[in-house]
Amino acid sequence: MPTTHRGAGPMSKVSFPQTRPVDFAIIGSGSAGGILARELSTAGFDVVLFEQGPYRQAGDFSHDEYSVLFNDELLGGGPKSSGETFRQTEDQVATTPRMAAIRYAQTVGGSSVHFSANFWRFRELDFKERSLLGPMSGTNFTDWPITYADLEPYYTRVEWEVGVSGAPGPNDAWRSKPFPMPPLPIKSSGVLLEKAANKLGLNAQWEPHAILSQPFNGRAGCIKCGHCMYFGCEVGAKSSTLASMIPEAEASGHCEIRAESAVFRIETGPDGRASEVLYYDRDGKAQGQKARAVIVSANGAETPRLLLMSASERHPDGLGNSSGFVGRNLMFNAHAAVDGVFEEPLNEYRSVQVSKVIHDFYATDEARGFYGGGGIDARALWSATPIFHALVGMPPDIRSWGREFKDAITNNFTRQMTLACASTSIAMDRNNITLDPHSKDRWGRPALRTTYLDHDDDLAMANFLADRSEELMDAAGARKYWRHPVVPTDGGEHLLGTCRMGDDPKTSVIDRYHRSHDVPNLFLCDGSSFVTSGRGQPTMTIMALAFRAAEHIKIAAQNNQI
Amino acid sequence: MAFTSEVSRRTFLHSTAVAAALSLLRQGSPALAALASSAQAAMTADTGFTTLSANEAADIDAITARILPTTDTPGAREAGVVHFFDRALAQELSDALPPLRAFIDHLNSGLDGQRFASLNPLQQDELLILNQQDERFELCRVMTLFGFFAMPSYGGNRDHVGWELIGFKGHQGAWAPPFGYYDAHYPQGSGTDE
Repeated sequence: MPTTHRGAGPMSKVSFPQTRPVDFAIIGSGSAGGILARELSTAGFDVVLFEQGPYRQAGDFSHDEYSVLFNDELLGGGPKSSGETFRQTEDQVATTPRMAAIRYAQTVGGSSVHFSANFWRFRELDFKERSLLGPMSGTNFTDWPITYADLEPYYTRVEWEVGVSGAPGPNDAWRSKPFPMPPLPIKSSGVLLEKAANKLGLNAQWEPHAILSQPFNGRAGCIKCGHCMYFGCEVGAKSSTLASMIPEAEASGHCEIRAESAVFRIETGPDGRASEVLYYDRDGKAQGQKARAVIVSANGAETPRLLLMSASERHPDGLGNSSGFVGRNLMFNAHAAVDGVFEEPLNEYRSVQVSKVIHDFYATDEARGFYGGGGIDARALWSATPIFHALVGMPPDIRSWGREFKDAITNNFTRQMTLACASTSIAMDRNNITLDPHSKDRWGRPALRTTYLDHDDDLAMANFLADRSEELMDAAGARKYWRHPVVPTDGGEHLLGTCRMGDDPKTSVIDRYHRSHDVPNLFLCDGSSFVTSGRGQPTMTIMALAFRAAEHIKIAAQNNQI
Repeated sequence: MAFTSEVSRRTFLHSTAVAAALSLLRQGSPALAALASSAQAAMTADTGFTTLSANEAADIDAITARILPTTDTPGAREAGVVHFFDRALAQELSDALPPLRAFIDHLNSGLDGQRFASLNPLQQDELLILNQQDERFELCRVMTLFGFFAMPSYGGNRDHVGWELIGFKGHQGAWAPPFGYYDAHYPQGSGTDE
């Protein structure tokens, strides 16, 4: 039965007074915030780590599909609680959707707790595609200010310090050190993908995971329970920051986790520097925490929202927003899916989601006639849990109830797999996060308003991968397969691009070291820092950026340069 | 399409009442699990229904039994899905009670004093086919799937019949390879990148 630990966690060693400035207030305890908290606290800096969700521990996570997938157990209550709104274009009035458009976990560890843990590195081309391919009109397509070589040491640190399983593939970028652990075992879906790939002259390579294939750093290895996607890991084998980084931060004696604390404003002083973090405590009472520096790692939707909520006389368009780029360039990654049913049981509900992936379509191929690239993996997806399977996993040509339906779910649940396609999104002004002028969340903060319509090339790339997936299903010997139509998305879990990094303060929000161009003691680090979307699994890069940011912030702080 | 979007796209739930019910359904209810365990106690005692009248319960039981019929294998009736309805409609899905009652009235309105539950299965199917585009039928369908597959502590899925039917061994917490037929027959080391 889910319970929540209220207040500080069992390992908390410290509690900092609100009126004396701590060295760092970090807002958001997810993939980036958890790493920054560990890095800065173990270096001796005093850190308060804010999280709006509760402090759940591994033992609080369950296999309760109804609660986790359909009652938003980990998501903070869904749209009714968040008041969030969605529209495709700015000439529409945004309305509150039935299902959240912006989907992330509200719990200590953030979305690293409930993600599927597919864990791709970016490649060299991801950082410099604008130079390789030329400009794209009507977009903000540009190069990153850093290269793969700049980030590679930090990818390696993620693998060895957070815990990643895998084996190199034929198309991978170079790596300075091997994976610390072998890949998770192959599943039937992986065998079928590999068989199909071999027939078609493609490469099915091992999927890397932020999941331990064997015991590592005092943590247990994966027990193959099959509840990775959307669920928290009950044994701590998923390398969330909750399982990996936050215990080390707390053990340092310099990090206080302040859970159930919803930040609503970053205050600035007369010198223009961030001075205090204002938040609602668990009783809804406004509180303030003074800090020498503030790091926002609240995710690609909540980070820009907080900056926009922190507008002041000196920062009329939002804190750190002299460029006007705060909230713009939202990227979700495009997706497509093809389902297939086979003669014999696959039992995809066992073990992790994915074991093999095809990366032969990663690079943009100008012969296709559109920008983009992506990966195709074979996975359980909606054959991992029963309700999800019955609601979404059935072929479109059968009635959705009655004997035929019952026979289909009875036969297919163990015999079905999905080829899941994840691909690029292009940065554009029109896709953005703003504050809804009417709707409020349960704390009374202006609600997130998402405006999003995929670029035509994003949809074309997703369709291209779906075409390839149908060929793969055929080559794999599927008895029957069908494709989910590619349509403009109504939301996403990958929240990218909304406070991009760059060298030019006119066209970016943070510099290459994650420092705000406008506010010297304000740092932003999470998916919002991305310049391009990558091909669909962003968390590895978010974590690598966090290690890199932490190193530069640490040096700056030690040298009194913040 | 983000993968989760498929849930809202493929289940056509558009009326205000149903949307309200569904948004409530999506509203995290911290008390849900606690409530469920008391419902479990009530259900196993089989003390009858607390939210639904006997007639409503009979009609809902009949509707769910057409959505997941009893064949040579158990269906919604054997899973006790109506008990899921009875509990959920008092708690996290209470907003769905008015549209469900209205839907039952609607089904019964053309039956000359008979009730849906008293029709034979063929007649029941005919009536449901006529109404299968009705969003309130979709609400019944989604709730039937919840009741059939959610943990037994929520009132349905009695003795795990839903899970047993489809081969989901959800109560077993851990697995070791081989997981399925194709990986069991996988020639070790062939064609891998290792």
